[in-house]
Amino acid sequence: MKKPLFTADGDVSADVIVVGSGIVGGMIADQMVSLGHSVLVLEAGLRIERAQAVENWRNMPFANRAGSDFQGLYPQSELAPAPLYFPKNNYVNLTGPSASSFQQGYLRTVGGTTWHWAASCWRHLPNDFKMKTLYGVGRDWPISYEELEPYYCRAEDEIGVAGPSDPELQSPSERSKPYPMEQVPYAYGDTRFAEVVNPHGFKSVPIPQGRSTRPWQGRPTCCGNNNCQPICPIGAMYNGIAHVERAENKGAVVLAESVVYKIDTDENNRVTAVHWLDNKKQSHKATGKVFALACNGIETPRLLLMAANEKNPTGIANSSDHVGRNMMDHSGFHCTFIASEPLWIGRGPAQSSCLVGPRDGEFRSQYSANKMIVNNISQVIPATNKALEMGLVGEELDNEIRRRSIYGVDLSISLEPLPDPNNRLTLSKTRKDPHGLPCPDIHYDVGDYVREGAVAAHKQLEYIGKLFMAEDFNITTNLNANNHIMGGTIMGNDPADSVVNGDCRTHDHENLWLPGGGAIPSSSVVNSTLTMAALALKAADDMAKSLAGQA
Amino acid sequence: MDNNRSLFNENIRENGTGFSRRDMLKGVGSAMVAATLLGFPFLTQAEKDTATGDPVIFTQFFQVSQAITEHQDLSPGMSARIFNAFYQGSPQFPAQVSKLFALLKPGLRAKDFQNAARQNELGDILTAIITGWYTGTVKNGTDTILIAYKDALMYRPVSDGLIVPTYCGNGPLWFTAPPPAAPMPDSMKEERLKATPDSVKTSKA
Repeated sequence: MKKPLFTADGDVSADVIVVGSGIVGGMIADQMVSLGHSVLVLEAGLRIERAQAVENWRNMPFANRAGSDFQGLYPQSELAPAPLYFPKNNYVNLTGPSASSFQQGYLRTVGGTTWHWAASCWRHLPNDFKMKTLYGVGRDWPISYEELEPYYCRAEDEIGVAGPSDPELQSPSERSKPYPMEQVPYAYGDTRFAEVVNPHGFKSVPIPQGRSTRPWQGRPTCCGNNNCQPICPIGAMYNGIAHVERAENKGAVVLAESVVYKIDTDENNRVTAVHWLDNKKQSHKATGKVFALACNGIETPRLLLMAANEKNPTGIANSSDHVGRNMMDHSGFHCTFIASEPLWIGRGPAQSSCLVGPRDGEFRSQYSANKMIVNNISQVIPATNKALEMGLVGEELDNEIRRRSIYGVDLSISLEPLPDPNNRLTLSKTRKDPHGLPCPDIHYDVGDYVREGAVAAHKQLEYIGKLFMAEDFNITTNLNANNHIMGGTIMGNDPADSVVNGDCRTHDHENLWLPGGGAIPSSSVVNSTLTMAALALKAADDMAKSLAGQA
Repeated sequence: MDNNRSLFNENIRENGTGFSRRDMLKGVGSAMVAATLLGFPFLTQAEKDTATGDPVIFTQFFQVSQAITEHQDLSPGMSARIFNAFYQGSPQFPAQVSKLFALLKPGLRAKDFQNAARQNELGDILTAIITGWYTGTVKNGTDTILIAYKDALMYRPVSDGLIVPTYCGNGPLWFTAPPPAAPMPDSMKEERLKATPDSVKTSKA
């Protein structure tokens, strides 16, 4: 077991230095330590315990739970704030026409934001990799679906994804291996929803999920606690902490509360070291052979920009001036209604089925595709809010809570933004974090492609509403963020307009990789995590080759 | 656990709405309230002290709560927690409770009680009380106090088919079973009239 070497004053050297301990950082650490390399992981946030997060959630007031405060239950490092909204801490300052649509809730903690994800493990479609060629919009990827496909398989194995074996129910069905686990079975609501909408082309399919349908590598089978977000109480859902712990068991060292702020480069512009501040604000240095920054789609570009040095005056990896540009997220909205029949939403995990009929088609040359998730979070809280607002009391109150809970539907719709260099993360000149490091500013406009996609989706939803003879049919008008942060270190073949290549290796520094959401050049409409994990594994292979002197 | 229910449940059927004024007429003492709350070891000293320190108002509050929720089987322990949160938050609260209590009549339905309260400028406090019971959270100005999670009354009307999120004892993949029928089951309607200690008040699928 090869381990990082520490000096007496807290500096360290290792073969592999990983910054960030989420699903991407954890997976890379596990891959590299498994190959016999010494690995150091630096994480800005705290190490937390699952049981504490569960208890904190139960102890949060009703309004926080009703408002989906998925951040507040996680203990925060005072020195490395995450964006918080109850109340707002304004850590990320948002401007532009769609500022309110980019309020991201990512965690800075050992294990990362998959502590509170929904565990959806979608693949991009083959067509998603060729947006420019096929539809004349956005960008093509420098790699094809076929090149990434083996890594999708590996990522599904690493996470432990439960998905459908029937190709008709796979989106996409181009697969070289079956899912490692059989799909999470539908509850009644998903089954019935599919029966009603499928004859009309909406194509309900099971969401591939990082959730156990049988015991899986120490994880128990899902027992339907209906609390995937913000925390699975029993660990049946995959969290990034799994790979962090696997890597540690093999000799990787993970340092929490270690905020990287500075990057050293040599005369060939190779990275030689990163510097971090500990929880006493002492600075230390980590020297390595290969480096991966996997701090998330906002924190990675922020770090690259703040680490500008003499040879890289506009920021590390930023000769293209594209670090922090092309910021994307699946800006989305919700559609709620009361169906004419009971659907009993809330039995099982947070999400199980999704309508993918509008996921691809010729229309993508004109407007955004969408997907519609049948949100399976219990409707009791919104039902109670509404029934109390109606002024009901006594038995009538109970009856209305029951009616709204069991007939209520909440669809979560995701849209596909195009990469736009003007959607940009920059460093604040005035706002600093408690370490004195600049906070991020982001300008965001979802663009007409998304706005027109929303109009098309509204029509589709009105049709669905009619199928269910909906009452109280409502579509939210403000687009909400979905935490699928992409684009800020965009991938491409041309070093003039992209930051990393198809292996997530930077064009500017031959031993620096930026795997994760930031690299994704076309967002599709599906949750980005599985693609991030696949890119992490591809990057890890490239890092291993580099260490072996082969690339 | 609930070792002295007589304080709240005596003569429960006598007047059709489940509360009795006999205790009030007899006079309620701190000792009676204290004995009742002995069954709720999770209460803080402050919560116990507030209830036992003003036993008449506390008992009136409990009966007001029963009347507006139309649930007889409220937990005296949870009641003490909600009572304390309101009591500490507003000096007008005891007087408001007394006025609400004075509006109660045998056989009064919750809706009529609500109308009477509104006519006497007590509508807001009554709404705040029922909101506290259903959401498990009491708001007092800028303070928001969590009273209960799984025992919040909002989970009861669907407890035959939905679990309280985070708590599930139904076993792996339980949710593939068919859901119950849509109408509120008779057993749950009857439950409104029964007194049960909250330690056995758990949700079923």
